[in-house]
Amino acid sequence: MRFLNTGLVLAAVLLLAPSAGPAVAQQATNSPSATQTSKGVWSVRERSNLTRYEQDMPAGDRTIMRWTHETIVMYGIEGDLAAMLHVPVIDQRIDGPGAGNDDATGLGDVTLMGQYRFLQQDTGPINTLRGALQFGVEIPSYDEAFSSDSFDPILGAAFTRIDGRHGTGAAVLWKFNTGDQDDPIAGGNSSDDALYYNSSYLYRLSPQTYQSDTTAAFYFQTELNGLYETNGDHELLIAPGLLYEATDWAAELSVRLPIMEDIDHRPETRWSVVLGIRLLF
Amino acid sequence: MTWTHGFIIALTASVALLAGCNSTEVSHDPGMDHQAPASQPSADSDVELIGMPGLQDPIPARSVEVSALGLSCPLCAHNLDKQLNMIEGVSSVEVDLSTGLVRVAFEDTACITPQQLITSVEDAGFSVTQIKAVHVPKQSE
Repeated sequence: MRFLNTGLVLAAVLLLAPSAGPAVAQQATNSPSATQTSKGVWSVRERSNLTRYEQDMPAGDRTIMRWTHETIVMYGIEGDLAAMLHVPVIDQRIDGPGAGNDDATGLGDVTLMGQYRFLQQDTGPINTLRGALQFGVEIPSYDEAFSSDSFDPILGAAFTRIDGRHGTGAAVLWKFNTGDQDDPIAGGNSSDDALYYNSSYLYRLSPQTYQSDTTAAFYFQTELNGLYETNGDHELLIAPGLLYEATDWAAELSVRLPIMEDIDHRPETRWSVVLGIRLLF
Repeated sequence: MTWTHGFIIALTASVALLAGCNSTEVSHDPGMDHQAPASQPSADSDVELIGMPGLQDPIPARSVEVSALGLSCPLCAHNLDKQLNMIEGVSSVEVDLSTGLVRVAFEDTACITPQQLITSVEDAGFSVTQIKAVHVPKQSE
């Protein structure tokens, strides 16, 4: 029944985009950006994340492999206002003390976000500086394994700057966790509030300069993804990767590795691999 | 390295990269069609109109060149041409990412105003600095 429910939700989300427009561009894989789809246009992004967690338990070490597949649908309401829906499907396998009872597959909490661009300074054919306010709420899926069972407001801001071959970004997001249900594995889903802070850098490897017939671009990307929770847990990950953009699709790859971790309330992240595709229908 | 250092490094790097917006000058197309009237600023906009009477008046040409800013990348450029193609009467759109020039061609019966083009580009998330009418020679009989 759980697979059926998850599949039906995922199918419904994909069907919501019958005439999707171009995907969000110049956005690093794991960081929010101030770019968005244009008015009346849909975009769909599929992002798969496989993460390995480890935890030292009194009875022995515990390893958790969690696969999260997100479908992210964005719609341009106005030229400077867009709405986004994140739907995560999660599968986790646990090896170690207490294993067997905690393997699970299901639907994580759904996030509904709005993005309002309050800053736009276009200074050249491709150069620009943008800022956007991001606001929304995490809606509980009531999945037995993965839901917080609470409505959690989210507020943040993102900035994106394109300067020739260089793209930079910065974003902060605060999540107010209002419930008392903890996800014992992934960060940001405890009963305490969470601060996400991210910075990103994209460098266009090819082409060196755009030509009149340019139809694709290839980027190196790197990010710093930080998460601080008010229970004291704090982690900072570095995420190098690659991004390929064509005119109507893009593909991305990112590998996230911890550079600093101070975690007492959940397993620590060992590594994470993210694959994604952004599609135009 | 302490947490405070790590947090400050991440945010400081972000702010430093974003600070001081690039003052790259916009390069307008220096060439002007010798048959076109002199350029004029549009009455209610910062967009320069060349070869057309006003923002709300139908464009008296079969195609135009729109100078757009902030295109950023191929995906963005395709976003723009999709927006422009939604305008009734537009027959083709070509976006030149290297110069920001967008060549928009119209159907014979099209009645399109500069304001429609400006609105479409802005709805796509970009800016317009100039719209220039391009006089297409009539076909010989």
